[in-house]
Amino acid sequence: MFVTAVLIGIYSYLILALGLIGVLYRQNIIILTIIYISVLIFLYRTYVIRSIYLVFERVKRVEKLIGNSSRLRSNNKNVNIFTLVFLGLIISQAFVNLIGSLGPELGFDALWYHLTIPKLYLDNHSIFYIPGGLLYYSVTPKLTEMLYAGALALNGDILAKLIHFSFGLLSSIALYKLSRSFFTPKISLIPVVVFYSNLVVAWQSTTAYVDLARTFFEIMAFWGFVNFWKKGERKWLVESAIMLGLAISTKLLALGSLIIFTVLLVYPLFFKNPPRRSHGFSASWRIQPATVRGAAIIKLFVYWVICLLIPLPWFVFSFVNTGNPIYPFFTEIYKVGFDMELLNPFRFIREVWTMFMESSDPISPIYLMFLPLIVILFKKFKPEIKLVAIYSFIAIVVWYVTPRTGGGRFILPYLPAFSILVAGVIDKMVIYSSRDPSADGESRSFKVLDFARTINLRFWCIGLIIFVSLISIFYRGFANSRYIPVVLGIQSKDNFLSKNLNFSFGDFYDTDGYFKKQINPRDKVLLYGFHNLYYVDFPFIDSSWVKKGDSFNYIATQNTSLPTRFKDWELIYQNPKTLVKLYSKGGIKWGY
Amino acid sequence: MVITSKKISYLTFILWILFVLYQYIIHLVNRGERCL
Repeated sequence: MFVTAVLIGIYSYLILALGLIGVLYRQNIIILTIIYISVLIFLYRTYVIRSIYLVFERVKRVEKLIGNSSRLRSNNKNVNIFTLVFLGLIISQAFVNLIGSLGPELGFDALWYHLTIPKLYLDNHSIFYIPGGLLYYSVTPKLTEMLYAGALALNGDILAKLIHFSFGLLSSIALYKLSRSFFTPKISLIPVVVFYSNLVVAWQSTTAYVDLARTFFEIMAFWGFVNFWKKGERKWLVESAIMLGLAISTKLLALGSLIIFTVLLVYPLFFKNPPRRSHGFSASWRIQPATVRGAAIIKLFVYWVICLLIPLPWFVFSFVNTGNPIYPFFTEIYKVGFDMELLNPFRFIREVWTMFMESSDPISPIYLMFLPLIVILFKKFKPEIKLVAIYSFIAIVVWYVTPRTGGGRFILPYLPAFSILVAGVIDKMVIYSSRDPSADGESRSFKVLDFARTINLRFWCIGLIIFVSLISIFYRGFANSRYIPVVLGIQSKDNFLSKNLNFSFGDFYDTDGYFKKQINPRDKVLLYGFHNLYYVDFPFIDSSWVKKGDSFNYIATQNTSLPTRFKDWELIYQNPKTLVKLYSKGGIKWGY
Repeated sequence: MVITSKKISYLTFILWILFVLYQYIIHLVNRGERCL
């Protein structure tokens, strides 16, 4: 998985290199992709052949086990009912999401900049800074958008959507593998079902945003950190830093996770025992000796350097063009500051409640349902689950103090960790259900586990997880059903987009094909009031980046009036559906 | 039937689960428009 993540990152940076040297042509991307895939197949040929062989071997072994004896068959049946139900839920959700990802793009941010900026890069054969107040994200790190540039060159927006859908699956696979280092194969399926049945994950799987890509790199970064924490090997710390660097290259907000890992790296300095699994978490505070502190500070320094080195090309690109390495943050466009009101604990509780229960991109209610059990059972958790709990708590605090304009999807990268905690609770119930009751103590956590054993709470909890997962499947199934006619070819793309885009909220589409017929490649249209430019398929300049001397022979407005300086231009077309009006001045070229 | 603090705790937990589930479903019905 770590190799896969690095290879994705390398491919993205190769496309960035094409763009920076100004040769971002379709044929160059195709050649690059073919060479890259060929080299990978050659380098990993042994691994690929061995993997295929292992899959066949495992299938054979399972068949042999099932057919061996009635006792084994009976045992496998028990194992398989749970496994089959959970795998069935994951596959059903993936299928529902796949239908949505095969249709034309409708997502607001995707049409605003995730797809539009790569499209403009491709049209101009280079990666460049777009000034103005509309596409101000043109210089922020864009690991995933570079993949989308490749997808747009090779196929179109559906391939870009499929890439984002694949990141959802990759995140789930990474989550399963991470969970396997804590739990049995059966219990490890629980976090995957809980995570994948989040409506925010299901919705994101059907759009070309970048949050699932960030989630994948973030879960990988945490997996690397867990390995470092358990084994103490520095290579895992480096792996974790590389993964977080890729996450920052995907979305700048991942810088917040650097704070989480910094706290986790610094935290053991103040505790009596070194941070090893065998010792767990000590509650007694003691400043460590200078040598230990020095070593930890060096580790922290290396971690930060690697994390920031990976997105460095983007920071330099941004700095050269805007004078700010993390533009547009800390500018008038995107103000970032600390509000003292954030220290109010009641506000913290209210905001967290709103995030979990009232996000416009809904998050699974399972996390809040399990919260009391997580708090009560914390002391009984294995040390590595305690690490997940601490990571989750710091993640919520970091989410709270960083910009939260994205609703539920800004907490998305940490949902895999929350899901592991849910599995941690069920794992405890399963373990204690087979214990002798007389061996239990009198603590609150033992009483809770005793209660759980008495009423078979684990079955109720698993039932709840299945119920919430079914809600997501049906809810998203209903939402994605509108894509079925267009995916099957019964409905045209024009008709689908005309019916489903929100023209009063910034979307544009040439619904009647007027622009396709009227505007030829030598024309240029100056746009006013347009916001989501992805479906603009004619030569244009947007008013947000037009500069003195730019020439144009048409002006188009959407849901806004024509500037008074152009009042003598003649209205030649209007579309009441898309709210677009087109003006001309006898076809002459006009200088801005 | 004797009402003990233990039973009240269990009842509170069950009510909590039902409350969260109710809020979630209401939210989906009323404000989940973006997911549609």
